[in-house]
Amino acid sequence: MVVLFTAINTNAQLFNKLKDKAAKALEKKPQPKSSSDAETRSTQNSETEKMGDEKAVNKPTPPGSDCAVIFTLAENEKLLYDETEVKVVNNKISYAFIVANDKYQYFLIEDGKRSGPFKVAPIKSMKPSEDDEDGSSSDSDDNISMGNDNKDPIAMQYSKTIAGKLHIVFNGKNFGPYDYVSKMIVSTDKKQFFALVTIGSENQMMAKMGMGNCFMVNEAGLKQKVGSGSMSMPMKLSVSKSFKHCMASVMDQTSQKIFTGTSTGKVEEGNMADIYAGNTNNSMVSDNGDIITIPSQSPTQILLNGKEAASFKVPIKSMDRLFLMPDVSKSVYYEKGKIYKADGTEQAVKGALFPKVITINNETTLCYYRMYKNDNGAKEVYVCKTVL
Amino acid sequence: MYAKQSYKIYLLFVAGILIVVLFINAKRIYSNADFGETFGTKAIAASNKLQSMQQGFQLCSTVSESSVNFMQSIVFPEVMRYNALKDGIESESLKTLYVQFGGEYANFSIGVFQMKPSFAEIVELKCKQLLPTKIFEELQLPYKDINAENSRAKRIERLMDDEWQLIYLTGFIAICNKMYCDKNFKNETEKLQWYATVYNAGFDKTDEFINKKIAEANFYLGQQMPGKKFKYAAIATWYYQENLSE
Repeated sequence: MVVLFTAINTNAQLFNKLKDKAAKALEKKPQPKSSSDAETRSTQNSETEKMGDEKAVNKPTPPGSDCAVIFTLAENEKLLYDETEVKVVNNKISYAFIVANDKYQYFLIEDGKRSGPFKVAPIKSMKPSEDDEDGSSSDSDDNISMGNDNKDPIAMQYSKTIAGKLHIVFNGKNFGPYDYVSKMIVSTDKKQFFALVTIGSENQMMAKMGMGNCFMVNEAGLKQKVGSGSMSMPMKLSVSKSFKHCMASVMDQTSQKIFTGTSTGKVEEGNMADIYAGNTNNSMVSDNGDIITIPSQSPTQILLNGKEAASFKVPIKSMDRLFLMPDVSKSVYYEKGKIYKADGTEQAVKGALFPKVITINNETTLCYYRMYKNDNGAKEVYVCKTVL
Repeated sequence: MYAKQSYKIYLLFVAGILIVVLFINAKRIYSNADFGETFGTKAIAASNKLQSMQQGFQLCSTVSESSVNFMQSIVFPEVMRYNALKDGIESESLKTLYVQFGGEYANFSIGVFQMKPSFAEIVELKCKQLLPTKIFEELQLPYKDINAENSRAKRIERLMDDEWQLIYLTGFIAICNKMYCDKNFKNETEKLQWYATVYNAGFDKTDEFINKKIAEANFYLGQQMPGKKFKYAAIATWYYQENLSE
């Protein structure tokens, strides 16, 4: 034990360096409403310091008339939040909740039907990732890193050299030849793909390194060039939500400009500032092939093919929390329990779990779940619908 | 006649051995490919992520009295599941609910080691109860603010940070060292399987439950991890053994 303490004392400064690093990282992030809650930097614990006492919690208010109970948890049951699957298919919301009891049994509650008990949680714990199995990559990083150490693993998985030429081999069919495959995205059902490839360049060596004529290709015969020159560097490839269209960004080495193009042929000149700021995830392609952009220097705006289509009260920090509606001006953004509308207004939705925005009878409607402990101590799960 | 019979027996014996060897090798080749196919890309990404945090692990290994490989193996299966890009509406709503109403209304995995806020609360509490003052002070877990909602907001911020996750992992291992100090683990692998199972399932699980999970993991490992089942302790053991010689 003495040896241990000596070792710890020797490393105390080093360990504090690790914490300093953590504290500095936190300082960069937005602080919660109280500014007086900074962590103690001292190793002395005062009486006012607090440890894991979570008894003093607020109670949610009872759900309103726009909510209806969908199931009630038994006393020995709890909801497994990580296992929950809430999705919108054809503008209809569906859910699958997993409930566990104290006997290590699991139950699936799927759109009103309860099944089980199961020995293991039947949805996501079966998978290596909360998203897709390997080989599909619709939710992976869109950005492209050049160089051998950072090659796209999906592209490598499907690439094959046939008679000395590089091809993509997908579901038994050969596509190519290409000089370089910089990025490939495969649909979850593994029936479709989009890839950003290089075919030819000003010189063969650059082409083999991925710099040259960049094309978006897919299994259905798409071959759409991105950028005008023959010395483009691939930067990004992404797909639309329903895997209908793709969008690629390249940097033209001659003009030093960023070009973004979609599989429908729409083109937009990008902002070099985004690249230098490392912010390349501020644009996406819609299911009809439009380019949706959140400008890094004016992030309250949504641009549709370069023109303002919506403007919010707060900056959009994550595209994942943006509900993009077919009419972009009706899109909404969710942050910290509030819904922000494109007309500049906001609406608090306290207690909302897994919110989704859908269109019901031509009205933009917020659907979410709520948990409420009733007077008998039973936990009820509600589904709520609010027209925005 | 006798020589002919013994020749036949010898041939049958050799053929039998050959079949067994071929079967074992075929199974091994098939199963390794299956593991690679299922977890390959994610395992490489997870390993790279852990390697990028090597310096931090080295700093914490003294406090947790365990090797870097041991520490990394405990969390390796969670790092495989982690998706750094996932900053979606689901996690945002869960974070908000947790801050507003506590773990009873939202308890979910967050950060590179996929820790739940309730796990962080228990680590904070048990560190205070069980660990020697010197180690407890080293971890610097207490909050200055006595407001529960602000503490929960801070906890969420911590859990979104890689270095803080490392500190909670260090606390977790130090707690396990204290809780299971009387347990005679046969070797480091068995100890790792125990700790990894507790990390995955929680401190409140019985010894019987943990033993059952470890037995399942060992059976799965014995089968060269076929199929796409996510057996936590088995994956942790696989990573530990893969990196043992390094």
